Amino acid sequence: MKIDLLIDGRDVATDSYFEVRDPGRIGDVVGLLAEGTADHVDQAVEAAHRAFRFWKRTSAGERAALLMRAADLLVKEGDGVIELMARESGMLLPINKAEIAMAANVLRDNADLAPPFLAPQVFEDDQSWVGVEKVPVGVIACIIPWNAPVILTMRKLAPALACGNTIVLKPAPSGAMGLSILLKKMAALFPPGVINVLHGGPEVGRALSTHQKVRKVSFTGGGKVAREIMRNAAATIKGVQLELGGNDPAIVLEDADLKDAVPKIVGGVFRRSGQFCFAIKRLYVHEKVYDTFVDMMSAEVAKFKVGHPMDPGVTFGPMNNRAQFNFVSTLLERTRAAKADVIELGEKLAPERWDEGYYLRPALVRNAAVDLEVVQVEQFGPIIPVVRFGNETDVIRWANEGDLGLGSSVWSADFDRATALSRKLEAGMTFINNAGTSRLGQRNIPFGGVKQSGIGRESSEVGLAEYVDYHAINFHR
Amino acid sequence: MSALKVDLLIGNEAVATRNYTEVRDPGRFADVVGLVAEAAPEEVDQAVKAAHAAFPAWSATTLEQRSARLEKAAQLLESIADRVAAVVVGETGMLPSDIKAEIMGSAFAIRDNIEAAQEFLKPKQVEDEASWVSVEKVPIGVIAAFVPWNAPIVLMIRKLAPALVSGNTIVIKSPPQAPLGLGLLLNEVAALFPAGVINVVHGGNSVGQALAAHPLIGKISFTGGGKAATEIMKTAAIGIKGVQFELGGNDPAIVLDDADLDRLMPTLVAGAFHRSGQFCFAIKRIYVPEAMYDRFFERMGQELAKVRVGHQADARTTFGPVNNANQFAYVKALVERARASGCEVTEYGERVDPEHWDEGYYLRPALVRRPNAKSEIVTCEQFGPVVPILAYDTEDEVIAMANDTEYGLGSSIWTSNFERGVAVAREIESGMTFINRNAQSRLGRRHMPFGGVKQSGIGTENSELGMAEYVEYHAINYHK
Repeated sequence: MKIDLLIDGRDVATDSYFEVRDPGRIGDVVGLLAEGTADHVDQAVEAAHRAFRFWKRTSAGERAALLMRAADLLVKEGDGVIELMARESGMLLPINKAEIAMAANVLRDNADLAPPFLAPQVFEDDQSWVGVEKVPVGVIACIIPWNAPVILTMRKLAPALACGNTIVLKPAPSGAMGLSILLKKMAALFPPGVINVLHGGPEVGRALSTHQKVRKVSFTGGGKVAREIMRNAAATIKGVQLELGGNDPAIVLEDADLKDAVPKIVGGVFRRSGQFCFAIKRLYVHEKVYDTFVDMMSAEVAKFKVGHPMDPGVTFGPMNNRAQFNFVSTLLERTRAAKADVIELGEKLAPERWDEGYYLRPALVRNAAVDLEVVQVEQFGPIIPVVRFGNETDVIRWANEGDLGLGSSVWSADFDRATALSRKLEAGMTFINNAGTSRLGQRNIPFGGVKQSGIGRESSEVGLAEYVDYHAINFHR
Repeated sequence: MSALKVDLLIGNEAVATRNYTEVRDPGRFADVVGLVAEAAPEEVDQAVKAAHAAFPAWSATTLEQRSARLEKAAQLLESIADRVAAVVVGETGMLPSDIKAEIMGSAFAIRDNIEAAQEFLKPKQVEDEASWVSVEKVPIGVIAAFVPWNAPIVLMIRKLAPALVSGNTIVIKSPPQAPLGLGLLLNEVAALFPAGVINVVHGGNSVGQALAAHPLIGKISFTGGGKAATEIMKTAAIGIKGVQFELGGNDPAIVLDDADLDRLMPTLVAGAFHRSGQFCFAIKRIYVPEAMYDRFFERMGQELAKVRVGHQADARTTFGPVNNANQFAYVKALVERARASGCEVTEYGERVDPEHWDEGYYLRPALVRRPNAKSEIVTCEQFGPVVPILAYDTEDEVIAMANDTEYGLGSSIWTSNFERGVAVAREIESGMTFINRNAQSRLGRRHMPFGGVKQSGIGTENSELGMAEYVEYHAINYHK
């Protein structure tokens, strides 16, 4: 398996290739990934820039129709890459399958929303006529993380293309192959140069975020890289849209239906082995139900079978990469060293091969103190602190501490109480009695965070607005 | 007469500082208009903390309460316009009629924002059998607002009004060349609001740097030049702060062959030379059909010849000085370089007070005949009273020339044909295109997002679209 760059509708080979290794079996090379250079970035951006001149003139309806075809293509081709995705990223097959289905919905939602969104506003009186038109921005650079690469790509590609922009995408090396195969097929539906795909390290990212002809950078990933990107973008006054990490609190009130809530909370914490931006990163449970909750949650977590995503029966995969594995492993050690009550749960499916991958069992930190490191940081892995609280004032203060504000969740049987509490949380999103968006939410919620969890939003009309400039025309009579 | 002295404003207290800077009249250097306090980094910190302390209570007020206070502010602006205008005229070099109109227009900008907020701030709610979704707009926190000297009151109000109506608090950094009128006005406006909602700091780059870098600032709104914007964005990156930038332009005016020159020339001249060319969306270059070129040039010269250049407060004056030494030196050198490169530059207008000409930053308006399309005078933003006039043959050619720039703020089309004007407008890469007058109509001020594309800015101001810069979205998703 060898993945090249995709520039102007053509495969472009490079001088060197990365080995992509299976994070669940580090000895296995999954495939080779082209390593682009700044020259390739220039070629890709120029191709996107040429394509922009005619792509922006297509009608919103034509573009929406192509996105609908792209959605069908994802559904049709998805099963062909879910194993490859599992082997390169460590994510489970059903998770990859569900991700691709959701990604197809993202394409469809944008195809539906864009044409009415793009209609101009017109105002008129006896002195003048005003048309407020929405025009594409130009070439968009999209920088994609490894943890859910297909859906996180479509959240950028779909609105960017629907609004008439062209794109240059750069996936993360540890989640690039399955995505690139899908993108190559999808790109063939569009004129050459509308979708371009680059691979490579920081040099490619830097060349992309500084290129004169890139007009906006959309990035999903970590805060450190985001700061670099924004600094790079500053020299040529590029807009940035940043969807960054979170330290999302889940607040379990004493009236929550624990039987319903616990399995959902466990999914919200440990899906993708905790490696998703709006995963629950800290749990605050009311003291009246704390012990019961911890017992129920432990029993649920104990059911996980940790192993290689291709092995039958596995329900919990490895960490995606060495850096993340090391970070979570040492965080776990420091948490233990701080005398916190850590329990690891779940079963090792193939204990004899445990050290061949970046495996970690899911862990709970019981009776976690509010100032414990694992409460304060974004762990992005399978260790979850469970903090006890006595009153809402305290828990709101604790939830709002820190510089991050992506998602959050509230668990309660009382709608009014839950929404009132939600409104006091400093977060871009609050989920009530679930750990993510409903289907209606996927279409209507501007996805993103406040404070240092990001700039701008994705999805919905608010997300589409990231991919247009306004052109106001004022005719004086 | 005791000198006017403007302090910092922190938590509705006038705060005196160690150092004060003299602000001089650009039309008569010897005259000190007043003294302005120079903030130290600790005072910037105090101002941001005051705004942060005021935020919880202010963001919890109702839209009705905030709207009522802002309406009072609009009325206050109207009642103190003359008094404030006198100071702004002295420090900026702008004409009294322009500044008076600016302040009255600022009152309208406040009312436009109040009107826009009523619908805009409502949550959007949808529901089906599985779930309920509410997308709510919440204030960001403390906004840092950087204001330039060229139209300080209205450009400040464009930030203050949407920020406050949507529940944010604000720290305003005044322009060192025009801090006094703004400071006086805000002292009175701030008193209408709870302490800490409006704070004002004065000073130079170090004050701006301290403000942009402050961890309690949630967003930065800046109007000014691209170089400073880049610095601010780099600083903002450290704290992942959002930025809204309204920067310069190199705005083309495209005269079509069916334009009625007799009717349009006075307003076209104003579009280029109003405020001595010192406004962001001033016409910076003019494209005229080859067949019409000589007639156009001559007609524009006749119009410019009527101009009387002099001290802004002199009743005979119709054209004031440029605002400051840097801008004066830049424009003069630019004209010299244009001449040196072989361009024909003609100056127009009469000197009101020739014997005092050298006592201010006076420049007569000038036109540059047929410069090369790639020459500096065409490609730079001059921000002063010299405008190049170029000839073109075809619409495709003029559209290509108009778009051959990294700027994209405003633009204008001059034609007798509405459809043709709009069709050409749509080909221009800019945030705004004005047809037959280089300004917004009253309707345009209410509904047009004001801002630029490409390197002319990030985000926009005015209208509901500009208000969106001052909110975060909080989506609440209840699962049934």
